[in-house]
Amino acid sequence: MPELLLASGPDFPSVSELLPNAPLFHGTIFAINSIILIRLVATALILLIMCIAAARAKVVPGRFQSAVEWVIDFLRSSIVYEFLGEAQGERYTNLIVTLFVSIFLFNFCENIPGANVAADTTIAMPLILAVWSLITYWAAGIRTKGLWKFLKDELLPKGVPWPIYILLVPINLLEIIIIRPFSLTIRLFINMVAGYLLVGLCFAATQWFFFSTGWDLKWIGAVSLLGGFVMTCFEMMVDAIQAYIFSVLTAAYIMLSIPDSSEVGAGDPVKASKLQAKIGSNKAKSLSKVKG
Amino acid sequence: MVVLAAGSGSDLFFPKVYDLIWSSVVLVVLLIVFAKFVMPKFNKVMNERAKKIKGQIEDATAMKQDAQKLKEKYDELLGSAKMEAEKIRQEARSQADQIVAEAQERAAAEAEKIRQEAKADLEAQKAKALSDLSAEVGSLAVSMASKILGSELKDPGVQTSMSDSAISRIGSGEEK
Repeated sequence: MPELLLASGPDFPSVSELLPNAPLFHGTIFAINSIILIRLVATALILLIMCIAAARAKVVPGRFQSAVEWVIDFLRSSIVYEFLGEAQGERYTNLIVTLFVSIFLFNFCENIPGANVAADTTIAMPLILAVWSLITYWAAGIRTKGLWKFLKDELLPKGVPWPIYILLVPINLLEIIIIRPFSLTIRLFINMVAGYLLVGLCFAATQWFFFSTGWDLKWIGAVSLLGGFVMTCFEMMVDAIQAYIFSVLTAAYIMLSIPDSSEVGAGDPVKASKLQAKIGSNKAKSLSKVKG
Repeated sequence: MVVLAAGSGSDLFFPKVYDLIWSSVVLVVLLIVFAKFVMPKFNKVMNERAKKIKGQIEDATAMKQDAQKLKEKYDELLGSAKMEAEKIRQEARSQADQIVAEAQERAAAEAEKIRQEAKADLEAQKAKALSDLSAEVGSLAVSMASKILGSELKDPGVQTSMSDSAISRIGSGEEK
């Protein structure tokens, strides 16, 4: 009886479709399933498109080059410079641009007929991206402050009575090691899973109502088709927003790891002036690099 | 319920080893290509453009300044040229006045000379007419006197004495 119900109902998408078998190199650590295949093709396309754009880049840009430059400029000015400042942020531009462009185009695969699923709809891809974010903000903190000072700033915030530290130290440690990367991973992954299920649901319903019901129910198929169209547009927006959030949070975590002049300046004027001088010399260094 | 029935949802959150490996490969390749080729190329082009635009703005400013200088120079030249022209005009006017004055003077002198010549001519003609007239008057008087006094003057003695006395009278200027 349930089998009959299943057979006669719409072919709704299920999460098992997001756990596909790996037909290529099956059983090895290099096995490739359909989502990984989509990811590899998407990566090849991203590299192809960006490399062609870069190779053809001219001082007087064409339409496509302008679009790419607009994206880079937007990420640089509204994420990198906004959070990290020009002097300290310049070195992270490459990372932020790579993260945003890759995540957005991986996400966007869910709107492309033939793929129909985002290239990062297995948890491994968001996880690896989040681990890279983790490595970056730890490296940023250690590079600018040293490991001990970085951990001290993160784990023992100023202006807290010392007994609270017993509670704060493990929470903060958990925060910078586990919670930040996992929140990045889960947010991106679940959004992609939800998008896949929502759009799939709409189109499966449309298919079933159009071809397996009587004339009295076909109008529901039209409604769900419209719903699928709306959801696809919505997902395109979500794709961009999720890529943006991932990039912004990575920049924010880096910002929390490196010394912030205004924060230090409030407590310790001598230190602040030293830091200002350091930032100044960094700026001069980066400027001379640009000139060279 | 159909959705949940088909797969075990918790499996989604446990990454497969091969998936982690492929994800890492993809991310590393993307990071390297972006950092080593794509971004440097775009940065280079964008910096070049910024530099070019800055250079062009500077050029335009310099050109504007040059133009301003040139304009000032031309204004100055134009001013001095106007002054020069005014000077030349005044000189020409005074020269013209002088020429007119000289011409008038010369014309007056010429007129005076012509007048003097005419006067002298007149005098000479008058003197000649007077001498001619006195000769004519002499012979006319003799002929008239001889007609009037024809009879009495048949005698040659009388004739001679009368003519002598008349001539002497004329010669001494007593015409009456």
